[in-house]
Amino acid sequence: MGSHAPLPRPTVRAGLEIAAWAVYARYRELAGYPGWFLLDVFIPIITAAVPILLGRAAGGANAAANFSQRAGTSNYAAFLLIGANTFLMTLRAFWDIGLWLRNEQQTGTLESLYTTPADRRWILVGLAGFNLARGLVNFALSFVLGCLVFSVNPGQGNYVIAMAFLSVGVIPLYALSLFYGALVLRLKETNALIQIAQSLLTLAMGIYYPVTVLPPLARALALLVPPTWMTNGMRAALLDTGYLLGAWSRDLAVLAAMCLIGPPLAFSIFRRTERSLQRGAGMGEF
Amino acid sequence: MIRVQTILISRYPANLAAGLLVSFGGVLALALATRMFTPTASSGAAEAGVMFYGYLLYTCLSNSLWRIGYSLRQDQIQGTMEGLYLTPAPKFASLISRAVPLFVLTATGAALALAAVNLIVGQLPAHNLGLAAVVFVCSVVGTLGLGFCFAAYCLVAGDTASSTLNLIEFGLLVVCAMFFPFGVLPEVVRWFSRLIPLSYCVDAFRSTLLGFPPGFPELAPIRIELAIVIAYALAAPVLGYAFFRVVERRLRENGRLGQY
Repeated sequence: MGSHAPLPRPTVRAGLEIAAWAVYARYRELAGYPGWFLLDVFIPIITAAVPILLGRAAGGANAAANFSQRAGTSNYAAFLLIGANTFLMTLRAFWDIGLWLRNEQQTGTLESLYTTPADRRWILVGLAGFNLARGLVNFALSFVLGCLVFSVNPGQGNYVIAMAFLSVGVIPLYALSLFYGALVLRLKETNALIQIAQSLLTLAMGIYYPVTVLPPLARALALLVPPTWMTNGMRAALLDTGYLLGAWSRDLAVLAAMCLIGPPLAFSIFRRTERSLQRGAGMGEF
Repeated sequence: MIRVQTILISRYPANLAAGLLVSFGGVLALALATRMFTPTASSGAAEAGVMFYGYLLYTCLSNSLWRIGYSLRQDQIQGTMEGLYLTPAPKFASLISRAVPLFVLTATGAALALAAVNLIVGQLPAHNLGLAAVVFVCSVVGTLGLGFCFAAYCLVAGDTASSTLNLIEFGLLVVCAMFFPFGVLPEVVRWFSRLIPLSYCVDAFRSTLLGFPPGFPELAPIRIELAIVIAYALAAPVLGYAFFRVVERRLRENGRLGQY
């Protein structure tokens, strides 16, 4: 019997093919539920509508002026729409990765994936890529529709810088969602963990207010979360509400630093969780 | 059966924590949002009261819609539904017991949220507590009827029921003006509001607690609203449960009760 030749090292092209198939599989899975896509367009509008209507009742004719004193802009509808849309995008990142992992675990296909030679990181990249694309389409549709509903000009402000914040911000966002995915695998609780994240992010991200109104300790914790910088950066670019560090380049640099730290840390934690589970009861136990 | 559901919930501490935090986080964010629109010199307590008291009913609605139907769906997926149907336990008890423990958890979360809102905007107005309690209990009982209807839909629609539920929940949130006064809604939407009994529950409950300030209640005189609320509490659970039994019988006859 001869010796076996070592398996060829996977190439980047092979990895991209894996990611592409993951995208296709996820698309086929979700294509059967078009209602969820529509829901993702309308939820941010309703999420923003609640404080808008509440604010109009609370502030009356001075609602815009009162809002401007605290937020730096009287265009509260656009301010809240941006917050609501980035919030849904953030939630989607958490739900889609965490829920996918948990569903694969429960249906028994997660262990099958682990027996393939495919690098799991490329599968996660494909999933994240698909969810991101879906999230961006939803964001655009929802924001424009919301602006029409609330009679706001969607074309105001510096879109280039806003898009820069969005593009850079999603990388550490998905790193955070991968970290959460590791928690879901470990604790085997999807809904509860994501609801906890949802509640904390609701407060930390400043969906309805600038984070500067939070008490110092809460504000410091909120600034550790990438979506906070992303949301504030987009608002500052489009509505001139002011950057957290005084200039867009500094705020963007913080997000870029999170991009450098977040993904490797998240992959490392995820890999450790995988190994720990594989040594124990196995990935398929749920 | 309530004990079974309580044990199930208590075995998952993450679910307990989530249940408390969801109540706390959402309402705190809205309270801060309310402060954004009020003058600097004003506390915004009355406006926050409109939001918070509507929120209390919203959480009960959400519990009824999600907990009963979702729990049944989980039984369907796990295969325990048909086993339950072999027992002599009354089906009504089986439905009610799924929501009761969560109401207790929600009440705890609401108490925490109330403390937080009071901290942010100051003491919320709280008048006519006895009457408000009656309206609240009638409203909760009435929302159980909605929960039964939706549970029947969950058995039929399966996983797609969740997106429908989200739409219904958000739709009711807006049309029943749960977080803001009815006055800010366009007249055409208010026309729909007047057709939904839950709107009168929301209006009566918070008008009572706010001490009937000028303009409240907004939809109808308080006596008419109280009559609607009581009628809703008496009729909704009966009609909802009847609808559930019709759907459930049809599924059983077709052999689809345990299918998912």
